[in-house]
Amino acid sequence: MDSKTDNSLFIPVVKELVKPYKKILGFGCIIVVLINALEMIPPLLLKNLGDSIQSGAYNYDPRIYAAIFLGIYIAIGALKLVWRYCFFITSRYMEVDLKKNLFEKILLSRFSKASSLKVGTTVSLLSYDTNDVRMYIGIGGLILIDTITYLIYIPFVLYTIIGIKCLILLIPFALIPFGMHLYEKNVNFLYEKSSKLLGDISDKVHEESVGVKIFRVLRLQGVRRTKFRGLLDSLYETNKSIGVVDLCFESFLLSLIFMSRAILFLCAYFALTSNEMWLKDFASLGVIILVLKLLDKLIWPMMSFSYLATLSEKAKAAVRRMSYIYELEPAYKGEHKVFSPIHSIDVEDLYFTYPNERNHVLDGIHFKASQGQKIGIVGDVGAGKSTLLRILASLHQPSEIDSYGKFQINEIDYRNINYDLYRNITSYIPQESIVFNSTLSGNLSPNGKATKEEIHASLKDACLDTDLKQLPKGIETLIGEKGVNLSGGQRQRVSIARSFLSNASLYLWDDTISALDVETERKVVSNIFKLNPEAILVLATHRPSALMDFDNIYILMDGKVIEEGNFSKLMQIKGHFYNLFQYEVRTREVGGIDE
Amino acid sequence: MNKLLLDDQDRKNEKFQAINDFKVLWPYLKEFKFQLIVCIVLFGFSTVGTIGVPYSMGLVIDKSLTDGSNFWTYFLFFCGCYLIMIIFSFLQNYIFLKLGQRALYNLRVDIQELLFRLPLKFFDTNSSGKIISRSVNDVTGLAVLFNSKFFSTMSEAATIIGSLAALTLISPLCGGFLSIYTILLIFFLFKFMGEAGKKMIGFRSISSRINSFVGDTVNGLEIIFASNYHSFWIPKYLRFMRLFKVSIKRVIFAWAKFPTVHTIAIGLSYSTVIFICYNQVQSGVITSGQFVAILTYVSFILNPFHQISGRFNEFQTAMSSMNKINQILSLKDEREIDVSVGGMLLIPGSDINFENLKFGYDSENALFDGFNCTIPGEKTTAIIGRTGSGKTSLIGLICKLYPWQGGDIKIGDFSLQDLSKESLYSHVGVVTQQLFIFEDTIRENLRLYDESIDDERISNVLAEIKLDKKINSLEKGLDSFFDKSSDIFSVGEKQLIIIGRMLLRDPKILIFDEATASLDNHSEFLVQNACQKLFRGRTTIIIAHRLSTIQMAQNIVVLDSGKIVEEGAPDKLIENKGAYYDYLQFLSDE
Repeated sequence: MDSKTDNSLFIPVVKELVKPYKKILGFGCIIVVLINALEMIPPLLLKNLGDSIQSGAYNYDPRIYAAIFLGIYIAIGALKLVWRYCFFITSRYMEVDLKKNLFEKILLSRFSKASSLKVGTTVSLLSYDTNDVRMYIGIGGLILIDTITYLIYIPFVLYTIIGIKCLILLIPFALIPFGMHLYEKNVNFLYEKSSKLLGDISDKVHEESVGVKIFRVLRLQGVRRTKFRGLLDSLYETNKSIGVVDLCFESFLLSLIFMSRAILFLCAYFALTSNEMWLKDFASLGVIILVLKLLDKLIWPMMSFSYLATLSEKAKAAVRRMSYIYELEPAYKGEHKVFSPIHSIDVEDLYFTYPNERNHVLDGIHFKASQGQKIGIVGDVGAGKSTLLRILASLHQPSEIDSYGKFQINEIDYRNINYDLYRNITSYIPQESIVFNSTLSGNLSPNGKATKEEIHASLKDACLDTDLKQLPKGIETLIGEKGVNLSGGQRQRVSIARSFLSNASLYLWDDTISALDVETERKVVSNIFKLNPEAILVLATHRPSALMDFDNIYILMDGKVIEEGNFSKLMQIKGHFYNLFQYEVRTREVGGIDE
Repeated sequence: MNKLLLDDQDRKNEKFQAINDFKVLWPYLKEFKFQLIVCIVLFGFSTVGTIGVPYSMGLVIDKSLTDGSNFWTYFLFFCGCYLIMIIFSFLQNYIFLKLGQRALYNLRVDIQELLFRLPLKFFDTNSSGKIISRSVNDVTGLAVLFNSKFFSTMSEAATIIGSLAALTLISPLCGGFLSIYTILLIFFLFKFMGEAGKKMIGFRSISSRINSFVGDTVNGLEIIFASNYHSFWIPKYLRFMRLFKVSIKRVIFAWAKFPTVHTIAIGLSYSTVIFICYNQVQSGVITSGQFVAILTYVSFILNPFHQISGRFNEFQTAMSSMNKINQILSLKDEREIDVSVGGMLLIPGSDINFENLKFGYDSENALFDGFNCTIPGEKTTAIIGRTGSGKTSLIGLICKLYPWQGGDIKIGDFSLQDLSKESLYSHVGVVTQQLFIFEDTIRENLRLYDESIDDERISNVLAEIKLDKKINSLEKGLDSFFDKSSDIFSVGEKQLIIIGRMLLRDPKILIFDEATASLDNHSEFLVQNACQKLFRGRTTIIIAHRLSTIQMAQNIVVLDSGKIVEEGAPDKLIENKGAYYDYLQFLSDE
């Protein structure tokens, strides 16, 4: 089904959200109905006063009327507080429910599906889109009840007082929905354009701040200025148009009120001067006051139809965007418990294919590791190194693996291990170092359980202790996007320090040392075994030289193991590994590349 | 203290800060003095019309209910008032809208020009996110002061005051009471909406923390899944959600106060009017038409508070934006003005000489002190050194991107100090580590908007760097558009494009900061080949990360913390068995 028009998820999602709050929302509706009924009373009271003035009877006590007036408005004011609570706060609760639901769905789903989520879209999904759904249920629901009750009450009151003639007065208001429709159509388009332009301008500024050196030396500022100005020009035009459309609509509303008032006065005049009996009712001060007061109240409900349509469109689009998350399947978890430490891994004939791809990424691979061993995995881009490590990290579900002859961890079949427990004792570092927007200590120990001493020790083990001195607040310095910018090598060492703090018995490092120099690399690797001599390290790397004292090295090519053995053995074979090593020596980086 | 550092703190505690901030913005409005005066005149007309509406309504009602004499005169008066109000407020708003948008446009242009001229240090010290929020978002936050909402608020204020005056004329007692209520209402408006604004700031900061957490989550999904962080990651989000609930509740309650007070004020006003006027109509002090006029004035006085309270927040944001924009505009004094006008005729083979150079990013720590070095002309020099050794700074200095504190840099006989940047840059080409591909066609990416370069030259260069097949295989060839999301090029191909760009530009002096990204063997080979072609016959300075690149150099400079450890031809350095030799030795040991 076309995902752009598929709204099948919309009603179930809304129903699910409303369900726990049905009572309070119902109560809120009753309050709105009540408030709007109360709002009808003051104009009617004023009509009575007007009638008594016109007839010269003056048969009302103004003190009582004044008291009733005050009483009604105090009641309305108090009830408004209640409906704000019912609708605004409840709708926020629903928003929170929706956010929680989506967040848990993401985290409890299978990695292979969840990993295709993008940062930007997910953040806006969990902020703007959930807000759009909230607006639809909370504000939209409120407006709907409000509109319906007004549209029933006002014509009804007018009808009972002056009969069917009230329609004459309502003629101008019939134009509102059309005007509103026209307005929203134009203005929504312009708003979108304007915000897109602002986004483009932000991108340009970002480029400027990142590439300022190049732009200046290559003298590209003339071109950049022209582009910049172009964007600013269209932003100016767009914002001006928005202003003009707003202004026209405002004048349109003012004109309608003017017209309805003029009609009222003409009716009153003709009621007095001509003999048209059917106009007779208008020649009354009370009626004039009543009509003036009630017509003012009609503007907003007439406008709200179009607004409601916009709200529902936005909410539907938001739910459509959420559908990917709703379709995520929960992750599978095996039963059997793996007890720490992991002492053996044994893989034979492992086949793996990514969905939507034809070729095997892993094409009958075997792999063995046991306590205290350092295992290296070498291969070109696309050889299957990362995939193998991800599978070892249990990021791919057993059902996603095509087949295997044998896949045992501590002699337990891969399908049966309890992944939660297994992951607790493995430490996987992905190829791209991850730095959270948090303090250094928050980055190293995300659960906040590590003590200061432990953190400092891990920093030392990861060779980050000298870098630490440059941080203004030590381990409490904010790092990441909003804090201190780290170099590639520093980011890798943050990942490594995090890994050290995890107390794992299986370390899976995917090209984690690529930005480190040779000394640091050696030190870091040996520190793993200083912490835990029984640990297993599996290191994927481009650099054969890093693997000199490793127990076993697998050379992968196109998903197959083509060579295997320790460093000296592989060098003797003079095969692919040997060539890679020769190549590395020729092109090896000099010094660190932390720049 | 670094003047160029943008901080987030509001400098609100200073007295009359808003007025001072506005002074900075005033020049942008002053430019449109004439239009502003027209606006104010029109504004006067529309206000008179507005105030006249209820009054004329009272007259019309009196006529249409009593004898009907002169009804049409008064009816026309009523229509006139209304039309004046509608037409003049439209005109006044329209003029102000255009003027305000122009002023904002000029402000944006000024800020953009400022970005073009600020010293590099500004970009080193501020993250791009911060620069964006100052130069784009804060100007947008200011918009409310420059669009029709500003004048709407003014005219609402004028309507309230005018209506109070008119009301006082008809019934002094009513006018008096309503004035008191209005003052109280204004007091509550500022108190409650100010409170709500503060709560809103709290809510926004929590929302942005939550967004950043969600961003982290998606970013770090691999680690979160593999390390089983679920057990505390979800509770962490739930804790954020609790904070979210608490803070939004505060906002909603704060918001709710004013509408309720407003409703009660409306009730109070009507009951006061009824209490006073009912008997006055009876005793003939006021006519029944005037009674209706009074009722209308009451709604004219009280209704605008609804709109004003709705805009209150926007105005608060605008005030704080004004403060922040002031901060960035005040950097005008820091602009770099290139006073040197000298041109240069680069004589082939000119060396680049550093003579007794003194330089530091801040005044206390000098990176180079008495630095002397010669980069031979038309040869390739590789600079080797660890982080912080000063190699990047050296490049920045040759490009005159940073001012130095003492000594000189000379190209041939020309001192860089006398050279205009314009003249210098016409001879210099730079390749930085970031692979900068613009969002534009491949053609423009190659020729860098230099229209004198035709397609034939481009295809020659493409053939030279062996990128022609790839480009020809693209559907639109050179017209293919490169945007952020597209991945038509691999990292290696991007490097080739950048090298091709430099070949087309053909600079006499080339600065080449090698990208660190790892390449597969084939692309590595192509890039090395292209580099060799690029370096030939130019004064080239490379910051190399690969041995194979270093081996292209005829001259080596080994730097350590701003000092030359060793320099000279590679063969000689190997003979010397110094630092360079150690590097090579270190590698071949493995």
